[in-house]
Amino acid sequence: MLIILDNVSYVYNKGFADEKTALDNISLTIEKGEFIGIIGKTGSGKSTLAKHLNGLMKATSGSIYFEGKDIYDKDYNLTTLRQRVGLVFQYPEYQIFETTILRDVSFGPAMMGLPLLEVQLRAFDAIKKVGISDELLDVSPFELSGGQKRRVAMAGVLAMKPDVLVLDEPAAGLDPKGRKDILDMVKKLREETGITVIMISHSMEDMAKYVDRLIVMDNGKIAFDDKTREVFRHSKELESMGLDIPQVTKLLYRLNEMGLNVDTGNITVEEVKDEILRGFVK
Amino acid sequence: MSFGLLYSNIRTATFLFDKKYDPPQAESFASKTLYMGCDDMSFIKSEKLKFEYIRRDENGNVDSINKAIDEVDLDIEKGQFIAILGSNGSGKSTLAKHINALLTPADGTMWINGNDTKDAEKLKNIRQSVGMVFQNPDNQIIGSIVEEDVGFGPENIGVPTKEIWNRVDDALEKVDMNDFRLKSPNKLSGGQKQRVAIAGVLAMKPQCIVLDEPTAMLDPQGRRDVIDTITKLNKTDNITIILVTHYMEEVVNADRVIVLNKGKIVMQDTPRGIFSQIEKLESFNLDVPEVTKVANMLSKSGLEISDGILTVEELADEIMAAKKVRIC
Amino acid sequence: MMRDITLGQYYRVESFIHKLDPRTKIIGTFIYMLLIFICDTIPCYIVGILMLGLVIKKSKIPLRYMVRGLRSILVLMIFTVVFQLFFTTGGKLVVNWHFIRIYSTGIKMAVILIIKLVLLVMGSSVMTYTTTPNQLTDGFESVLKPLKVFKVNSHEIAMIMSIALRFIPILVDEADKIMNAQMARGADFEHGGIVKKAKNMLPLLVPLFVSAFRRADELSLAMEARCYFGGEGRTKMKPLKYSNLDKIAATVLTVYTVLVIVLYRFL
Repeated sequence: MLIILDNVSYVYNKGFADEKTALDNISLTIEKGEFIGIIGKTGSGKSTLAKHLNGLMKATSGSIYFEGKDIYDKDYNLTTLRQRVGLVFQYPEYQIFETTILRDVSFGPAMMGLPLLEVQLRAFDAIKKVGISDELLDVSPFELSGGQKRRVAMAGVLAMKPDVLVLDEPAAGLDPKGRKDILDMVKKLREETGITVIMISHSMEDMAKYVDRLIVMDNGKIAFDDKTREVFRHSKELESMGLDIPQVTKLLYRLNEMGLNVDTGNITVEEVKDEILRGFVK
Repeated sequence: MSFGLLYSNIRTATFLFDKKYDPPQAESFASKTLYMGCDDMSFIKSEKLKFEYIRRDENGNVDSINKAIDEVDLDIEKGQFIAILGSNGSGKSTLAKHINALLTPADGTMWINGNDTKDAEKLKNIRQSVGMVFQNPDNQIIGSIVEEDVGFGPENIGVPTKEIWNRVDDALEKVDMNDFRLKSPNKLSGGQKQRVAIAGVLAMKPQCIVLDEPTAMLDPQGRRDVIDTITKLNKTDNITIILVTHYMEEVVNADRVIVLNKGKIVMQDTPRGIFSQIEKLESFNLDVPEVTKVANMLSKSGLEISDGILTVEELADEIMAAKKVRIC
Repeated sequence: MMRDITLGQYYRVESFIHKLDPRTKIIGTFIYMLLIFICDTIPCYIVGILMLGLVIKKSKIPLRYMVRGLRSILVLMIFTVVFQLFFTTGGKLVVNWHFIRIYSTGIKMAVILIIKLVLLVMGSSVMTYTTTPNQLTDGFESVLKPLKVFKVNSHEIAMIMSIALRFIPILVDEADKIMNAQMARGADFEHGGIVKKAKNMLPLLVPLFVSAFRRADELSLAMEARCYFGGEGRTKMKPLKYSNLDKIAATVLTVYTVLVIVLYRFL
């Protein structure tokens, strides 16, 4: 087991009038190589959870283990943890600051104190992985389009060679093509390197398409933690939490109500088409 | 941080110098009612509209010219709900800014209510009748209290105090934000902030609201609220809505969808007409909703499903109807 | 850590001070600060502290809240004390230990400076705690109007101020986010000497400035779109009006002023 969260709670402004529980007794295990989605309404605790995974925020109570070691131990090296659990924030393009793309991507590995050659190798490699052309290495990142900037920012995290990649709304604000491109890139990255990916998103459609396991957060608690298609079987509960199910799953539900016998556990466009055709034959 | 603000002020200040602006007089406020009357011609009209972003190198030589809008002809009547679709860089935001005269055409002409947007004297009139809501909710709210922000526009056009209060009450009511009127905008969610921004525009009694990707930074709940609000304004107050977006789900209720690609209008039709051309849309880096895709696949597999399905309910009905036909 | 900045943020309660016309508060604060600056004797300060106490009590702002706001100038205060203690000579030698020599004048100066700083900061922050930024803007605009003779555009100054106040919390929040994002890439904002620390701040400062400029640009567009063409011809949603409360405040202020001047001249 790669990461274990044991009864983790986090309370904002503890002791003040505006005290708020952001995480409420979260227990969770994450295996190596998983592709996990975290979904929930704004304020449900998704982003807070993400910041706990790499030690940026410290739980008010409970413990977190990375590869069997307690990250809140006095002699645990949090800097190393942050490098091994790469966290890409929402709109990461706003964290770019260097004069060239290469220099910006090199920042992470350079801060790790690696030799220059290794730093550059890692930066090259990361830039290639996110699909930015070699010709742009010495170009100012501020000249790029929004989608490209985001890739550069992601490369900045990948260059640290993390074992786990945590992505907070990686496709927010992008147009449909940009959205698909960046998510496909993450998918490919995972297939090629076996990296563990944890992705936060508002889009049920993206979750259906990409992740294997889906964690639903509601009011700081884990409401569901299961295979993606199993989670979508709970459409009523999801809707009561202010969440949607994918349009196509909704279609199957509706058809079921109207008397067509179809299995609502199908979640992608292809699957749903096949299921409806099957329903016709029956 | 004061740097940015300084800069903002410099911008506003230089703006004042560029365009000799006549301060609004008391009578201009009264005369506005006159404008409401003339609706014989189309409300928004453009002919061969062109706009270029010119980039220069350090020596001031032209480095590259990017045609953001290329010979666009628009013709929009009052009371319509128009959606402008396009991928990033298609020129849709640039076009939106022309409707509010924030940008003026490099070539061609844009008329709002019969007024040429290049006519500096008509500027105030145009901006009062066409309100604009932008993408980032934080960067368009000026007031530190919701109601004061909504009052900002009416203050600018010289509306008398008592009337400002009426308009603010009315506008907040319409976007359903009355309960938040004394709150700081910083304490609101993204969707609520956007509704405040819409109220700020409404308080100027516009005939048209242009929304430039108003939902791009919102969560699903906020997105729904904003779309519901503008749909209601269009239906009950007959306000012309121009919604710039790349979310296909949001254009389902539009009267007409205009698709932009590389600065040109490449498609213009009802939502149904647009949604039935999946391949073409994909070639413009756009996508259709998943139900539309399923409908299209089913139809290709031989089911009798009509083109351009927009909603889940619609498709379910069609599938059940097709099933009946099969059985008979 | 950065969220603790309470200095200058409006605090919503109903109180005598909240209801005063912003112009009264601006002029009052100005006179108060002037008197603190000029009349720097202990008796004057005692009256000054009493006056501030009265105003704070009348403003219904919890003292704890006000003191929390002072934390942001803590470094400045410590620096001042150290500077005064170690580098002022004169009077009796109080401490003589190794190379450290502290004189009685130094202690007196340090105490006076601390009182002065605290009174100045608290005095002016009562104004911003009790006045909404928009009221403040309107007040400044009105108070500074006579400066038009010197080609000072009071409306623009006031507008800059109110926008600054609106965007401070947003930018503080943003700084927090960027800091977290850079820390996730291994940035170090805590260790190293001054030069290294300053250099380490670049990953925070560059994105913050880029963002501030972007916001400024978008905001100015949004203002233009809402028919903002400067101060001329604008009407007010909340016009300023003096009330009886302002008369009371003016009387109290006059008494205070006369009292301080008398104390300063004759004691």
